[in-house]
Amino acid sequence: MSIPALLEWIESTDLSTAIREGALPYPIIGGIHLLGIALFGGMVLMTDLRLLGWAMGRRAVRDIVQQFRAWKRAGFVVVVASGLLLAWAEPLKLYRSPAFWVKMALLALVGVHALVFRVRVYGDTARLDVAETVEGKLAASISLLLWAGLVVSGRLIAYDS
Amino acid sequence: MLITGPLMFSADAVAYHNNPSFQFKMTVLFVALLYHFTIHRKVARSAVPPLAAKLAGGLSLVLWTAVVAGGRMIAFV
Repeated sequence: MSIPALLEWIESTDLSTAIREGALPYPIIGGIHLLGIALFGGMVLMTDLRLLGWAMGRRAVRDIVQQFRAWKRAGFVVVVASGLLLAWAEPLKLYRSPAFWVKMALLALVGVHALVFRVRVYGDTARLDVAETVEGKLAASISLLLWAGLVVSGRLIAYDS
Repeated sequence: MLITGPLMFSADAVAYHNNPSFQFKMTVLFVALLYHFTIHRKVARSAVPPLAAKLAGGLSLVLWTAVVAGGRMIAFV
């Protein structure tokens, strides 16, 4: 089965049609996606600002990273679940949208970022509280750039027609 | 947001003005800001009982969620 044929099948499912053609489901799921971004992005932003030493400097990096982690994960689950539903509603449109592919590429880079920095930065925050490290600041800077790019490219999907 | 919002509004002011979701968003935004700079700020800066703090925080979340929801609906009404 070719990819366009698979995507056409997805669009023919009841769930896809209901989200796409109903008056309320799409904006409601889109709103939940936005709120998830607010939660997840907010936690990422605060973690990165702390790693850079630009915010909450009187609190240990360890406390910030560990205490925001649960909320960060909850936000991530909300963003991914609502994003999958939105994608299920119009996969063909996304397949043909350059902005969508930019967004997916950035998302893959977020995965690479996690693989590279997870152990040495986010998993070893006690070390960061002894002394700020270049690695920590690098991880935070790249993370901020990636998330800004994700939001912008996501927003631009609506303008690819 | 104080800059980008008015810029987007200025691009299509009449349509925004007549849009029910936009009117809803602006109404809730006004209430949310008013609340934020009065009751919410007072509670956040004082040692109030946990229940009062939770109520104040919960109401704040409800208001800002409504602002986001109203904003998202603008494109769909």
